[in-house]
Amino acid sequence: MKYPFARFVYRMLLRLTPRELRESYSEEMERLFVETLEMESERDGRFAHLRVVIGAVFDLLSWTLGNRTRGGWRGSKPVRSPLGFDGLRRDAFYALRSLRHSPAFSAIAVLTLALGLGGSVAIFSVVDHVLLRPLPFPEPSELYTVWETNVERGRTKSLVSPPTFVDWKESAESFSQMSALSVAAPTLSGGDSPERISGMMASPNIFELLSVPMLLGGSFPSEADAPRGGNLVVLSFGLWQSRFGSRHDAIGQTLDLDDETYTVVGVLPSDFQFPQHADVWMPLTFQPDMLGEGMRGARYLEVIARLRQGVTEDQAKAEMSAIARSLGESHPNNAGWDASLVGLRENLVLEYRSALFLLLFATLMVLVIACVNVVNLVLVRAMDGKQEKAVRLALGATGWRLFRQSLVQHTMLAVLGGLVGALIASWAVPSLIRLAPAELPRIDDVVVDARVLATCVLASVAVGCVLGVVSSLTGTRVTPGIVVRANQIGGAPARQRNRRALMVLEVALSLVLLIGAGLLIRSFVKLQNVDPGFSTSGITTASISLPRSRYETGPQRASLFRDVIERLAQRQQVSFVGATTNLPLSGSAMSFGFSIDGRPDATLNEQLSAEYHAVTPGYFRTMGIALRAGRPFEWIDDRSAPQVVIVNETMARRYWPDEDPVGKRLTVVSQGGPTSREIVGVIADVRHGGLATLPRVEVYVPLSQDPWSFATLVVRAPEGIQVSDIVRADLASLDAALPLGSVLPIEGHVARWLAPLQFQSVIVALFAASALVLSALGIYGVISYIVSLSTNEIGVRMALGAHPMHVFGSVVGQGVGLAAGGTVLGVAGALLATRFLSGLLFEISPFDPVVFTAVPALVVAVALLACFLPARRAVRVDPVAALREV
Amino acid sequence: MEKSTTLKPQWFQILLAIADGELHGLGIMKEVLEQTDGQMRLWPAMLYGSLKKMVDDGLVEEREGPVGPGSETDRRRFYGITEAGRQRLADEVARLAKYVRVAGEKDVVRGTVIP
Repeated sequence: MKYPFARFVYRMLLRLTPRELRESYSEEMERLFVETLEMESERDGRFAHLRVVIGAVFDLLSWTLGNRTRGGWRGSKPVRSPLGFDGLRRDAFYALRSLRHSPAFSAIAVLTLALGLGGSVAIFSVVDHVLLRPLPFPEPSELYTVWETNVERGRTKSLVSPPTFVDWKESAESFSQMSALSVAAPTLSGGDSPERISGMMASPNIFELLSVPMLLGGSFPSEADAPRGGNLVVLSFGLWQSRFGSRHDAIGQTLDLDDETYTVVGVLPSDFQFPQHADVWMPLTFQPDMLGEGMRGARYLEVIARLRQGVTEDQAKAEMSAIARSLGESHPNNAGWDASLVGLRENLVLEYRSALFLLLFATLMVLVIACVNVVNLVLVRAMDGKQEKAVRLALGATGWRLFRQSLVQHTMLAVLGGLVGALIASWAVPSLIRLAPAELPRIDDVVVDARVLATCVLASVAVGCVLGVVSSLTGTRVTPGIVVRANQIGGAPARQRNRRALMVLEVALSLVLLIGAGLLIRSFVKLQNVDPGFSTSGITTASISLPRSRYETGPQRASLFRDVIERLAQRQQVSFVGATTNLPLSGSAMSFGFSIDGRPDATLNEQLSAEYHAVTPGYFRTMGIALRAGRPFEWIDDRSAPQVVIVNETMARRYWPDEDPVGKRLTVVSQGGPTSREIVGVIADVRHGGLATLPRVEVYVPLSQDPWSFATLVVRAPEGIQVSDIVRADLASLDAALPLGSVLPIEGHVARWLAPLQFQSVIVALFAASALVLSALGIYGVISYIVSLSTNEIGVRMALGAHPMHVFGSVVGQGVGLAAGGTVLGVAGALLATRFLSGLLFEISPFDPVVFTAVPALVVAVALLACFLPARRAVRVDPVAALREV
Repeated sequence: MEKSTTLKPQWFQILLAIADGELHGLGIMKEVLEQTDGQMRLWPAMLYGSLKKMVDDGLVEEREGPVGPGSETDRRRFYGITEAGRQRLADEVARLAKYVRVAGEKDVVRGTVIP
């Protein structure tokens, strides 16, 4: 169906019409409305929708009001409402008529308000969905994430290792349920070709914890996490539809995941949402070797818990800290680690909250600026309508009556603006979603719905009331006597002062916004120019994940990776190739403890830890990571050869400030427990965690000496080579059942990392630009008006011999004076406001002198431009004509 | 007679539009748009509001739409002019014609040729 949103609005408005009409014609009317929309957009695409919607809304409102006030339908008696709604209706009808009679004013005012309200509504709908709505689980406030923390190491939110989780779960009394989660990407076979799907490994009690009832079947039995406790799987609604055609006998059927057969035990309801999407849920099982002492440093589990009724967050936190302390006393890998609680929803949105509130703030500023502009327009009209008001007062209208009239009129104006704004928002939101980083939780669900629309209407009414009051403050002071002197020129000086003050405010507000945008953009550019320590172009990355069933032993895994890389290296199209377990900026990281042999200041008990990477020969060369000393890895560094390690510069500087680390020995914990290794090289620093994160202490070991079941291939090839096809072919020739994971150019990882920052910079810049345009229009309006009021004065001055340049200068001077006042105020405001931005800025002060000089200069230049047209008109005033009018 | 002969402009245009055959809503809207050179656009509420009153007054009646091969007459409502409607239209045309004639005789709009 076309135009769903416009139809929705129209149908809502149809309810205003008399019932007799609505009952017999609403369908036809809606159809005609849509047909008009189609016809107009075919005939003249530009703004056609807008015109038709505004026209139809006017039609509905004015027709309804016109017919209802004139005594309703033929045959029915006019009923006088006891509460004076009749009068209100008449006011509304009168208001619509007068808006229609000054189409230019109405259009500009409605569009200005629509811009402000539409932007606010669009951003609000995102903020509402992402930040404000409760999670779709019963009693969501009881849900918490639990983290390991280590203040000394600056780790405020670390994932949890399996043995620590098991200990927590056994001892913690504050929680009714505790569950661990780990993301998986199993291969689904049995269809046309093996397919990587998204999965989640979770403790069997996860669905009881979230209180999610199954659509079909049941949840996991509690013993499902025993090693080899039966391969069970719970399907998402989507996979149940696509794989089992929504059949009810899916329970008990099987599914091949990673070459193992899983039995379907349950299907999740369609409205089940979890922050990370998963097609399948499997029980998280711990093999005995994963619960060993060495694994206490392997922190990779996310932990969710539900508070027991009557237990407070503080009590739970205290209990968890006590447990962590006692674990630290008995296990060296737990020493120094505390536990912390963060609400589940808070945890989801934590990193986006400041950015989203920043955007909301920016839109509200634009809304305020839009309102200031409309107030200005309204004031001009109040001045023009003075005579009419005086006549009405003379004919016996009360001041209250006129006030109510003005209130109704401006509320209607604002509500019209709000409706058009909601339309703008409904068009803007899909683009906003496309622009937004995909990691933003629940972003896909964002829609402009009734809740957002209601907020919009409320906001419009509030804006309308403010406008009405402001305009009445100048309007009702008119006395009947003024009619006689109706041709007086110029407004009262006080009112001119008010308008100038508003202009100064407007310029100041947009300046604050522009400075904020300038800082964000400069910070973004700086981030883009950071040297990440590796080459960010010409490399294709492809992830591979080996099923444990067929690649159970280390040598099996090592030889597959070696074979793939050697095959690729022989290809003429491939320049260099390598692989790593943790690609920079991909969000994947491992961290293990280490000690330095023969150094009492650096033993395993002291819990030093380093970012850990297992890489193949060729990895450093492919990624363009420079070798600072020693040698890179070779294929001879395999299981049977001496164990070796390469450290990064940061580590070399910190632990061997005055000597050469090459040849020294380290003991590094990893899959196989602590292993002593000889340092054979020092490698340049890489910004693994993000462009804004300083490099940490890192160790690299050969993948052949510590073969993990997953790795990411990095392939450097000349431009125009379809690397993914080559990799796929070589992988298939080795193991046809092995799917290739996500293939992404390295730029993709960088872009994905930059996406949220780009999002906030672009949006804030957009709002700042509209603020600038609105203030330029505002300045133009005020200066134009001043010029038109002083036509006679200018005429007299010109007749007395004033030079046109002087006239020009004095007009421009007035505008620039306003702009300068606004600029001073704005810079002061920005100095106060930008400190709140500092958390979002990278290597740039919130008081950056470049931004603080360039932006005010831009604003003054725009103000000059806005004054130019009225000034030219002033110079062209014909002295004779002007004098004749005095 | 004088009281009721003056037709509202929208009513006049609607009657004129369906004078040579019944039309549905969009048809009337398009026809009026055309015969007024785009001067009068009948928005849904105005159109159907007027139609309802004109049906009540017996000037217009709802009719079966023409059924053609594969025509999309499903649930579309067509409107045709009644005899009373035709009479009112003729009266109005005569009244307007009289004014046009008088204006022509007085040569009110100098230099403009009035047919």
